[in-house]
Amino acid sequence: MISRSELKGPSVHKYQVCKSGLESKKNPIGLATYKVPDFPVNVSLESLIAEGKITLCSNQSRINVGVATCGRAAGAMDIYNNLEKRDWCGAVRVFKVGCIGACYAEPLVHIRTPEGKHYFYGNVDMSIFWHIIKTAEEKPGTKTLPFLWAITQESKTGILRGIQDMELIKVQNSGFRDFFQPQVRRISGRCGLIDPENIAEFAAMGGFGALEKALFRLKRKQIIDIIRTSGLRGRGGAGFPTGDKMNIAYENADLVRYVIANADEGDPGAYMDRVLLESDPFSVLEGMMITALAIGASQGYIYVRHEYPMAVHALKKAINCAHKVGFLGNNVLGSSFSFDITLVESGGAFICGEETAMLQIMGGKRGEPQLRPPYPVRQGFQNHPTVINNIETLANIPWIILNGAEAYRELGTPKSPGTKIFCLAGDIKRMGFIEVPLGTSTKVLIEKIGAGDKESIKALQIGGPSGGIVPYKDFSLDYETVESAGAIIGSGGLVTLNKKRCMVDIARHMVNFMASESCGKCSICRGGLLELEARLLTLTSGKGYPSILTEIEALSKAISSISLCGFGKTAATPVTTTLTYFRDEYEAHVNGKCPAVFCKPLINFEIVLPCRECHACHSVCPSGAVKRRTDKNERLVVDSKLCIKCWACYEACPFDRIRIVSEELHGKDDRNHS
Amino acid sequence: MTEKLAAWEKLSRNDKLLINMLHLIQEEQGYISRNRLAELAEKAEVPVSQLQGLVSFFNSFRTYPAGKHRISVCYGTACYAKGAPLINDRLVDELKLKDNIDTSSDGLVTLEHVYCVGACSRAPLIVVDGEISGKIKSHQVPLILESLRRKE
Ligand SMILES: Cc1cc2nc3c(=O)[nH]c(=O)nc-3n(C[C@H](O)[C@H](O)[C@H](O)COP(=O)(O)O)c2cc1C
Ligand code: FES
Repeated sequence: MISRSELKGPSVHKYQVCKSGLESKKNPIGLATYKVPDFPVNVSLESLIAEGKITLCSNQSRINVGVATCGRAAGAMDIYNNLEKRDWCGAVRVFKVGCIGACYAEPLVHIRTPEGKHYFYGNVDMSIFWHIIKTAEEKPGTKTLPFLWAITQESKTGILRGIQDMELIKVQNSGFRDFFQPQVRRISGRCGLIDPENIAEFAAMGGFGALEKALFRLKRKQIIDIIRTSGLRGRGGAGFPTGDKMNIAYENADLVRYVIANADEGDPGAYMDRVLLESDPFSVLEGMMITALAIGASQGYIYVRHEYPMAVHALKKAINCAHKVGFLGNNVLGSSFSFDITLVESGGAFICGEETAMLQIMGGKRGEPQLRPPYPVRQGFQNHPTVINNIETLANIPWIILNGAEAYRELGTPKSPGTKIFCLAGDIKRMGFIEVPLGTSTKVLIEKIGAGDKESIKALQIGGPSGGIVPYKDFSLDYETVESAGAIIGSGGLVTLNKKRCMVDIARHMVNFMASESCGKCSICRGGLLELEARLLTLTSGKGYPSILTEIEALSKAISSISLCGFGKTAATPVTTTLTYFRDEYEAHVNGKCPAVFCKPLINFEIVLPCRECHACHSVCPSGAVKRRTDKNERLVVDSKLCIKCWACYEACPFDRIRIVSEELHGKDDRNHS
Repeated sequence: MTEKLAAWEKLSRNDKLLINMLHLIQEEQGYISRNRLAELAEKAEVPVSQLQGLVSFFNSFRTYPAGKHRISVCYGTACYAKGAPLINDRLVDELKLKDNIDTSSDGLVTLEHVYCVGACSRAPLIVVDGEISGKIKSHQVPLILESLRRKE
């Protein structure tokens, strides 16, 4: 146990690092009883919490605009700028927050009024500005209500530790309720409610409580034991028990140890790490600090994807801020524990998410995966024991330390305890970032939360490019069940694919991705994948031949059995799973037909009657293929010789009169037997 | 020797990471020139070939200049399924790009691919000079290019 040095009620005002610290001094609403002590010591947790409450649960209205990447993509910055520049006469403050998870509802604006009521507005545009303003000014009229999505109330006014502390008191948009109701927000409860750059708001929402407990009330071994009994499994893909990994490093004879947070979230379709980093970066830092404390590391790294500029920005700010208030650096919170974090920005290579490849890059070498053992936890960065954990794994650690292993195991399955964040994308109505107990069924995720239409959904792509594409059916989302379905949970990306998506083309796309990301060390991996892609391209361009499916099968098998690392071993999974479950589509392609009417060489566009002659198709067609027929009846037609199959007419037609057809090329012998 | 490279010496041993320096260099001119690479190699006391290996390993490092504006089409699974290839094909068409050339001949636009920027709910999306726009349709491409031309 680390002895606690004396901490007298110091203040964040001394440091003036956080926005709130500066602003509340300028505009000291609710500060009447809060005195600024004059001795310069590190800030205490209590004063941070008090500081955070001033802005979080203030006696002014607070407007939160979600401006994480997903919000920005929907134009949230315009909304924010417009609200921010309004003269509120000091009665309202506008904040930039992260993402609450309901990405489908972006831009999302949420207002907290002084009595602890929260008003949610989704899909905000200029037309409902007035209602937002009225609500914030606490004059919501009856005209406001139709635009409102939901109202919640803090269970005790002024106490807000996460979204789970709010009671739903009115729902206007039932989808919004269905999206949140099945969820359990243990580790993502703060996301979208706090200003991610403000360490005080993080603390006021229960942040750093676990760090304080770990520093002053637990022995290092106890921390590890709690994590071990909780049964937390790594969220980065492999599902290795996190506590065991910590213990191996703890018991190592080498006393120089490192912690690395793996934020190289490479799986397309999974973005939980991004949301956590952009919306609640301090929780990841807290998880890292506790891990470092337990294993005895004094230096940590965060290996973050370059494609997430907002996450990089949030991390830089968070690390700087934590340094200034004494949560990072020497003698954290006055204890004898010292810890520093350095950011490493990756450059866009999927394989670098693999831990040994990442270590190569950090050592200044090409990111070629190395044979394990030795595992990084025994011999990692600069050959010292290194615990590498995924961002979501780290974000779980503070919750477990605060609430205990037993509480953690209350949710989930015995072998996969706890909650897991999934990202819903693809062909469903309500896309977003959700947290549910492990073992929740796909039916709940896709149909209830995501509002997917069961009839039109064909397949689920789980676990990133090296996961699998499996037919949509009801199964439990835990590590074991998903594996028996032929896929992996991986990092938790769920892309739903409907009947319009061509499985052969999607498989080809993924193989193309994997081929370009292969490090090239094993020739079967890069070369084999390129060969495989060429075969799939032959199929999608309508030049298939009878033996091609056996060739594809043999190649996929060779790639997965001969490759050395996890990347190569799983690279062909999209092909093997689609070939197993959607073989009929492959066979149709051999005959020159694309059942999903997607592959350009195999489809044609037609205008079907009755056509309203609105000319939308004609005006968007870039190749002049939409023409007026000059013979008998002067209707619009698509000239298949000029058509470049860009789908512009299909997308533009307001009456759905464009049909895409694909017919088997039976009897044609001009097919290329390459 | 530029300021950015001078930062190397001030870094503590734990912070001396070549990849971070490469990002700094790329930020300067939008690409990593041979000269800069040689300077870094000298500073960091590593062979230039090692740095070249590192640069060529990553998608985001360029070794030749880019166009004035950069458009990245997201080719992640969700965006791909929802029509990213249609946007890409239209861009290639409008910019008259030929095999393996990613910049239009007037030097206006460089077209790149990115594999998921983590906003899959807005698929398909493109990133124009760092600004993300979601739910793009291929027939909007000419408008997007027009607005870039007008900025000139
Ligand atoms: C090809 C490949 C890609 C990977 N990509 C990631 C990634 O993007 N993020 C991640 O956290 N782990 C990734 N991993 C897993 C890591 O190697 C490592 O197991 C993980 O970071 C350990 O953390 P955890 O125990 O918290 O899951 C990848 C593994 C492989 C084989
Ligand atoms: S697939 Fe395009 S943002 Fe994720």
